[in-house]
Amino acid sequence: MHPFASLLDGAKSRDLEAISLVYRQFLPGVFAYIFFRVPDRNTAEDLTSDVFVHMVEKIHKVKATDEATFAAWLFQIARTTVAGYYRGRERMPVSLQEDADLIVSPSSDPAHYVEDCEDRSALVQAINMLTEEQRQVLIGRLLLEYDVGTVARMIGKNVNAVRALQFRALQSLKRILSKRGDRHEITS
Amino acid sequence: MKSLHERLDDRLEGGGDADPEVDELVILARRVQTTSQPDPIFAQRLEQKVRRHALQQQVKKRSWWGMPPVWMRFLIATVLCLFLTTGTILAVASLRPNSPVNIWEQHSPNVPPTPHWQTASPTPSFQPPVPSENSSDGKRSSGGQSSGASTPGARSKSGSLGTSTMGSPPPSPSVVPASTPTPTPTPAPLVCIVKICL
Repeated sequence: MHPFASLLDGAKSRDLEAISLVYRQFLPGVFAYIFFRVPDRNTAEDLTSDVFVHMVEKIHKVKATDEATFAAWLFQIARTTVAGYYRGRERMPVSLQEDADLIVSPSSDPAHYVEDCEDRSALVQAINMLTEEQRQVLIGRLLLEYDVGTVARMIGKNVNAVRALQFRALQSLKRILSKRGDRHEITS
Repeated sequence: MKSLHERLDDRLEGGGDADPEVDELVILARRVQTTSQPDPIFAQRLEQKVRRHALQQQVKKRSWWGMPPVWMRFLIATVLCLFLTTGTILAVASLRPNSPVNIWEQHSPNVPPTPHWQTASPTPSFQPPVPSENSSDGKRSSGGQSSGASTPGARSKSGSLGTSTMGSPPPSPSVVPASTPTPTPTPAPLVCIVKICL
């Protein structure tokens, strides 16, 4: 049996070690996906937490047997969670949540921290302007470090389409950041 | 000659030669990777939370309402047995002519049932048998009359019952057999259940 299939079987039967391994494997990708969709890190952490709690609750029902299908299922949860966050936000009064990163600054140098936040903010806005497929390709290739074939199975496209999506996604990011007059050189 | 897409892919996987056309995109890709790393402390805390939640789910799966499944099955079986037993007892009881269920049904066909406590005399229901000749003294018979003769139908029915139980000559209409215990009224829903069972 494929190592991931046996790991998934363990997780489905709620073996704690298997669940930990699945969590560690998918945390960077899920966190990054949410991080690029919401205004601040705290919200990204809260929503990531919701996604993994949901994963634990529903993992015994998932029909996936390979990594790509499971990743697709998990990102579906992440997408629904982010959508739910924005639906809830529409009903919420306007708050200073956008500036939460500035309020709880962990950095010793405020100037450097603000610079970081602006940098991150520009990148987040640029990634938000990509299509859902382009975002998923970037997450799969860059954060989960999957090969092109696995990402292709994950999003249901062929290998060449994934390569093209990857290229167009990075090119769009470069163009958007240049247009915004990103303070840092894109390639610095 | 490889396309730009393929050259970028090669460079992202660490292969290929320096390529100014795609290297700018590769550096941008590295920036995306480093910007979105989760905080290690957060990652550790969340892992503990996930494990705790998985443990809770395990316990929840094992029990329902805080009860192990075996106990739950036992409880369901007990309730089912109790229900079936009650149904059977009521059904059997309704087949016996002297059963309270039948007596109630005999009283009820056309006339709305009048509870016995509204028509009965203040004398207790369970009295020692009174010989028929003593009924002429007027005391007992008047009391009995008032207790059993609220409706004509009820009177004739109770008279026939008295005959079967006492084995005495047919009593006069004014005599109510005191030996027959006053039937305990069975609630109508129970009668319906018995009918359904039959």
